[in-house]
Amino acid sequence: MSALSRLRTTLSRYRTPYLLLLPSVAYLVSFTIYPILNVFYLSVTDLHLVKSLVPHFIGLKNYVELIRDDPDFRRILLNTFIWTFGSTALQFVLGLATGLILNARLPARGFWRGIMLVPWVTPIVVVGIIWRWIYDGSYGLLNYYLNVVGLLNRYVVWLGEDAAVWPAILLASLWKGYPYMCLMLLAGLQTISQDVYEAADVDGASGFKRLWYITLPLLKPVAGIVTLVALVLTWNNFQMIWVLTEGGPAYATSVLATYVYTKGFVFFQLGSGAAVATLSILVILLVCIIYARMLRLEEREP
Amino acid sequence: MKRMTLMATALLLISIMTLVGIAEAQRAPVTLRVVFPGTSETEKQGAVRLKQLAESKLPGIKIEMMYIGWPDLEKKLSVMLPGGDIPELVQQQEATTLVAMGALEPLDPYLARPDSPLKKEQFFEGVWNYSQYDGKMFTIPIRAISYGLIVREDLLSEAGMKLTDLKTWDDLKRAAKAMTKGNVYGYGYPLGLPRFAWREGPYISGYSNNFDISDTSEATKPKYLEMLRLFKDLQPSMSPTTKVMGLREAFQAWGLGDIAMMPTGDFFVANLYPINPKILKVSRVVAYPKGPSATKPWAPVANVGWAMFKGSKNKEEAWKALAFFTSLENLTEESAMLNTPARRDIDMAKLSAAAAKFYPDAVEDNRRIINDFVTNAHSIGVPMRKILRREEMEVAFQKIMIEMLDGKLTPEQAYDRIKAEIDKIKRG
Repeated sequence: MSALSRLRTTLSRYRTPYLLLLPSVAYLVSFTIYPILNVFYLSVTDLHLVKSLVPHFIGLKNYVELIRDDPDFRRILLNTFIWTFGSTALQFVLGLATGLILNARLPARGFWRGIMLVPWVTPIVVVGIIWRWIYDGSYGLLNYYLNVVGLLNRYVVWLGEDAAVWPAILLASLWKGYPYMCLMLLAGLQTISQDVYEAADVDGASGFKRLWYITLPLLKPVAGIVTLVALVLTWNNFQMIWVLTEGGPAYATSVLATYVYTKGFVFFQLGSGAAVATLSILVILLVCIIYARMLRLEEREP
Repeated sequence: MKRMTLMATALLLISIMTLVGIAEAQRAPVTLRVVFPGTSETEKQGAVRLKQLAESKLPGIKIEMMYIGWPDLEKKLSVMLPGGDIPELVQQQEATTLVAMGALEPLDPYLARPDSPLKKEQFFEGVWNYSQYDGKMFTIPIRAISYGLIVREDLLSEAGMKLTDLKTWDDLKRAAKAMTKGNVYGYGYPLGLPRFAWREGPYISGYSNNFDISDTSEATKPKYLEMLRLFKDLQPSMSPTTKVMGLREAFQAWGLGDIAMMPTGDFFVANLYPINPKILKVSRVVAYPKGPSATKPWAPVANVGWAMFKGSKNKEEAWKALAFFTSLENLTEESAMLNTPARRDIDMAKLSAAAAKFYPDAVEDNRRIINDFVTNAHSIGVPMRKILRREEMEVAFQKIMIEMLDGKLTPEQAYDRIKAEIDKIKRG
């Protein structure tokens, strides 16, 4: 049987499933695959809206210029790692702690679980604006209370001082993002059988030992996936940084997502902006592959 | 037979519905998408007012007003235009980028029509000429924009100085230092956003030292260094929040009484009024004092105008709307809201009466401040230079100014960096 007739047989046998799949595939091709391919195509052209609306092929020139000649790019790449890993790590720690508390037998547990979700369901732009006011260098609540309790004796420009700006942004991101971690980890915690804890109690395991030897290992599959999702979401999170600082002062808090915007839509350098976007996709893809491999290796270990 | 009858009836019904649909479509009003940028609540109200007025005066035209902040205007258009999502009209301060992109329709053929209601003679010459790019008209001006130094007269007086004492940069530094007390800072500089880090500071100061900061030729180097040293000297009189302050935050700080002097444009009242109208009573406008290399102060003057997109599908209707937007009928009231008028035939008494509607708690203060700006524009105004790829220069400039004010660069090092960056952008 030739390949063509095999294909024809398969198509006729599975016509209905393929037809049902068609809308999703068409959507995926139109809105995900085509844009990605187009971004890659633009990244090897010199498209600059102010100079010419016609793109010309220039090979990897945009990439070479970014990596070799653009000092801002290196700093922005480092910022992206600080932002992504810092944010995810903090959200994981607080999400786990909150998840453990909310998994215990608390009075009005449903109420606490509900209230914990408030930051997560609040629109990110609103969260950003609120935190900007909290951090305000002249009238911000954080400065006010830290001065009232005597921890500070001056007003700090939280979003403007080199040493303060990243902790401030990470704190805002932590507040916004930890409920998602908590919710997922809580779901994971609820799948751990009580029998395991009862057996540990019989063996005289303390609270910390129960956490270290039972809860964390059994939570690892859920934690791995949740962390991976959080890494990708944070890597591409444009809004929080844009609302808080617009990537400034200068490029101090720019990340790759904001740099793509600046290059493409402030400087009109669509070719160069597409190169930043492509590099961003490749780096996060690499991070994900390494992370997934590490998880798989740990699963295989006896 | 039955089937035939059924099919014929169906065909007849479809034909009737199609014909009715076509007739309705022809009768339906043409929708014009109009991009209206602004930064203040007053401007937002202006957009709503213009939509309602235009729709009532232009039968068959519906306006879809797209209100957007000035700093985001070009960013939004750079997404819309290449994607073929082209509106009809846009308000522009400086159309250099859109003209370079080939996005705007030259308006000369429309102006040359015998029935065109718009004539060059109706406008102030300098303001009209600012709308020309390579000899072609791309916008019809609605307002002039002039820049100056806003001063808290009461604080200046407490510091033992008068407005007339502010003649040179040394006077400016002395006043800024004397007025910096407690929570009040003598000099406001919105360094937090590139657009304002460039314009509401060095750009205006540069004009008053007889040079344009996008000009990095050897001839301007001494003037450039004088300007950078001025900012270094003014730094102790600036708020610690300078680095994160945009124009909105600067106006908020002014409204709260935290800033005593600040360079800005004649959109000042529109922005300040919703925050604190009372503070307008003690706010005065003077020419930005002259620098050491200038013989007299200069104030950059630009305009705001309406432009039509080349890709618009409704050019005739867009021209009608544009002609109405820039008509005497509309601009008498609209000019009262913002800035200074571009048309010379506007009745100033009517304009003042209209301004009282928008600024009821500051009628006299608004008139005085606008008069100060107009006087500046007429006595020391020079056309603001149009700069291609200014957006890139602004970002580079902001970065270097931050480093200089943070003490990481001397003014000399800052100059070398600025020159290198601006020259690279011009070459690239």
